Amino acid sequence: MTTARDPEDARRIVELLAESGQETSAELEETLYGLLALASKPAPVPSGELATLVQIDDITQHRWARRHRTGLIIFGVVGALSLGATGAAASSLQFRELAQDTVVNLVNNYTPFHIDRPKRPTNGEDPGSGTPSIRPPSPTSPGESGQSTSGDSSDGNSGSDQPSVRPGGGSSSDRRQPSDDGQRSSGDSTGGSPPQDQPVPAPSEGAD
Amino acid sequence: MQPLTDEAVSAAQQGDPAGIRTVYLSLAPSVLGYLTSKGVDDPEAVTQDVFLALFRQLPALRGGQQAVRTLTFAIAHARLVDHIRRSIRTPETREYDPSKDPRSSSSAENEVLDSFEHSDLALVLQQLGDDQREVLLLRIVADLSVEQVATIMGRSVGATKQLQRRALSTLRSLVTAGGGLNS
Repeated sequence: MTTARDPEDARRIVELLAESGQETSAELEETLYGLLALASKPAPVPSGELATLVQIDDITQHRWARRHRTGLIIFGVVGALSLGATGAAASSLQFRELAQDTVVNLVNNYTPFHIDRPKRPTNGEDPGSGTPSIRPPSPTSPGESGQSTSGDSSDGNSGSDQPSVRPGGGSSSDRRQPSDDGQRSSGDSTGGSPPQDQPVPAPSEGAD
Repeated sequence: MQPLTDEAVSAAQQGDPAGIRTVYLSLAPSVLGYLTSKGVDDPEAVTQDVFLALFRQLPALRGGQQAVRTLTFAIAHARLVDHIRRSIRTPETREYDPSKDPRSSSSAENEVLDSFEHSDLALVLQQLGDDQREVLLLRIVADLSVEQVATIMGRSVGATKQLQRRALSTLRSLVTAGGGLNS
């Protein structure tokens, strides 16, 4: 199976070989690409003092480290809320409500996004019939989660920009509220707009 | 991977959380890959140590993103040497960690890191000399220039180029004779 090569990776390998006056071979190139791939793993989730320095909690860091996957997670969350739990547990209304509450709490407490709680059926109807809505981060909530994803697509924090997400593989993307448009990757790794939170203290000496 | 820019470095030096995050997210994958390829037991933990040390020194650093990159891997290199020395002197004992129990479910990251250890690439790298392996990892995984690698390894630029040439020649012999990587 051939894999599309990043042009930048190809350039680096060509440059390295030319620099060393080495003739290339398919096997050597494959090995060098393998080395390059070592540098493409997600950044470790910061913890402890490092998490304080970079001012993100574990969950948010995990999402940021996985490029462009925040949107997939959000869609997965929406899908879970809409479709309910899978398997045998799906038949349990209580289990699905618990799963939905857990997911809503996770998203609302650990991401800049907000999910409206799905309406609870009072007569045993399928709770997944309603589409949970996701609201983008409030532009005037500096303390909200203490972080912003770069997916906060509104550099001007206008609030009118919808959370930028990329639809996942499933149909959960179809369940996004109709007003969402212009979706793009929420992990847009440009550094994004600075978070509206307190400035982090400068790294202190001897903090090890 | 986020590109590291002089602007982000400058922001990080001022204590801007966005700048600090950019520095971390730009370099942490490479640091993790470097430490993983060197067989460090807990590359994620050592990666975090590297960045804690980096951020302590960052405010006084001059030279923009190039200097940050060089310092980051100089710290990683030093941490690695310390780690190896400690391992030799004091065999490590650990409490049971369910996350490292192969019988428990593994995160995708652990699977990737574990898979390297047993991969053909790792086996090939082990057959290189220590310095040859180091120069290739710093040049390729860390994406450092010859000059930066020379600084970290304490060699002249000319000696580093020569080492790199020999490393690639050896590597080519190994993988060509072995029919390439199977992983």
